[in-house]
Amino acid sequence: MNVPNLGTQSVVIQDDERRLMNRAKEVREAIDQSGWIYDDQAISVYLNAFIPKLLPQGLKADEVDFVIKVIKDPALNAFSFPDGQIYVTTGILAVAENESQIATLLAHELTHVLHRHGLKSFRSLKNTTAWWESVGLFTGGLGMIVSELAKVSSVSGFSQGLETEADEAGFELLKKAGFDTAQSVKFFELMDHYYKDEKGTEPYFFSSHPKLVERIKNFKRLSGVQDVSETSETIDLHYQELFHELIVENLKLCLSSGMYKTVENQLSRLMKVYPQDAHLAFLKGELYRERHDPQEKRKDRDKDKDYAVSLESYDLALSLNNDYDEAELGKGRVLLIQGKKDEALRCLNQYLQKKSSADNKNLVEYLLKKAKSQP
Amino acid sequence: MRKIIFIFLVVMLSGCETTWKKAELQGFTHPKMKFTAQLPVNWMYFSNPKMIDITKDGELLNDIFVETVGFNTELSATKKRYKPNMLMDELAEVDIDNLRSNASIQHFDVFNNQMTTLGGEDAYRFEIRYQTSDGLKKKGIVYGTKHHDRFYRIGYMAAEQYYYDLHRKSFEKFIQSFQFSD
Repeated sequence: MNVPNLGTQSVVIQDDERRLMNRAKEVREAIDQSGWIYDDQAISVYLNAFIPKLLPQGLKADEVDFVIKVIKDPALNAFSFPDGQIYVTTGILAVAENESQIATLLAHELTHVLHRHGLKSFRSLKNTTAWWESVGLFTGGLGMIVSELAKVSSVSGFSQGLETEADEAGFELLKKAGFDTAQSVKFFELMDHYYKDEKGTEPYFFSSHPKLVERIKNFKRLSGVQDVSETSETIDLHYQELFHELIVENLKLCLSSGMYKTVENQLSRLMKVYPQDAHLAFLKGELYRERHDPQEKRKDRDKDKDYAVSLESYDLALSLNNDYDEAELGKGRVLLIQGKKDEALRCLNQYLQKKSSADNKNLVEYLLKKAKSQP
Repeated sequence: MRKIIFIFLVVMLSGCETTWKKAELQGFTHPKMKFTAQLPVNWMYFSNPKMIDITKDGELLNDIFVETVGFNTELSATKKRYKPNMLMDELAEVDIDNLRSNASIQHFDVFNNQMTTLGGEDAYRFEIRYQTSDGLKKKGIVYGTKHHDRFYRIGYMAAEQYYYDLHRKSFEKFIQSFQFSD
């Protein structure tokens, strides 16, 4: 199977590769219309600026159009299509601390395209006719996306050999572009922490081969850095500033998904950088109000501690922004659960007074009724 | 053969329908989920011990459902769970987050999130708008309530164009007739 990489020599696109690209285009169009795309001009410009930095000079790839887009998804994932389109999730961007870590991720995905891993993978299949037949079954929309994505992108990972190749060749792109290569180790370690925190929701990026621990070893070998704490660059404030809104948006997605540990870790990191951000304080209040242990291993006193942190965080939000009415409501909800009737009534009434035309007036009245019925 | 006998016994003992049936004028009682309601006449329904689906033109186009969901059981999309000690607003929060986190629901939007009563119990009610995996735009109404140690979700989902408004009154009548039987 002789499939040359994209490089300084022009490559002739074969029929099957063109068909792959056409199919990829249809899948991408469905993704773009799904409402999943995180649309932010500044972030789009920032991410796409990595492409010329990372791609080899003199690249001849007329049929490939490299573009990076962001998907609203708290899972850690990134995937590329044979025609150069790359998608990264808000989840994986929120985990990264600096531009060298983002470059690690993008260099890996760019390598999948440059080395034509989609075509190589496809040609290694024993029965390509059956593959095309299965691809032709979709009717559109996300039903198609989920099944088709795995077939025409790198979403579920390529073979161990191709993934290792993408790591190693991606590392070379990173080095040539002058990024801090030690950050590649740090990035995979951050993802490893995430994986351990959120057991049971294994993202695609991790399900690819080789296993994450092996990848960390590989990157340590490649970069010559054994201890990541030796590295100079860690949290880049410019990166954090640029991605602040995206990270907050991702925190809300994580909270909805019940990914409490991730929310806790990211809030802790963010609040060190932005201690005066009322919105972060409010989200912390929401986290400690909502979170619970699915296995009920936590004891009641732990939940009491959670409620104490929640109230403290809502108070902080209110002290930073006196008009943060939702924090008042959050306080009322926690106090109600704790059975602190008078305090709960005061908070809930205060909320209603401030927001007499609130959409959730009926909900607050329900909470007031509950509070009044308490002994 | 043993398997067939086992399945037969399960079906017989469950006391529920195993095929689609036409809803009659007389009220419907679900023996396992312990509720009674007037199903829309001539709609088709299918039930098992934990749910009932009722439809006029097919589930994709319009569907009324009642289901019981165990407390502390895993949900399809969020890692959150329904807890027996949760207030109605917290249960609604989990329900909405489970829908919001579902990757097969696109352009999801919630509105008119309210507290109400259902069958004499406190309940939540919210309306949703979304797009299905096949690109079909749908609207829906979801109720949730607790009765004894059971948690109920009752809902109506229909294609936004034509069907939603057409059958919404049938759902409202169904809700008005809903009562717990224990």
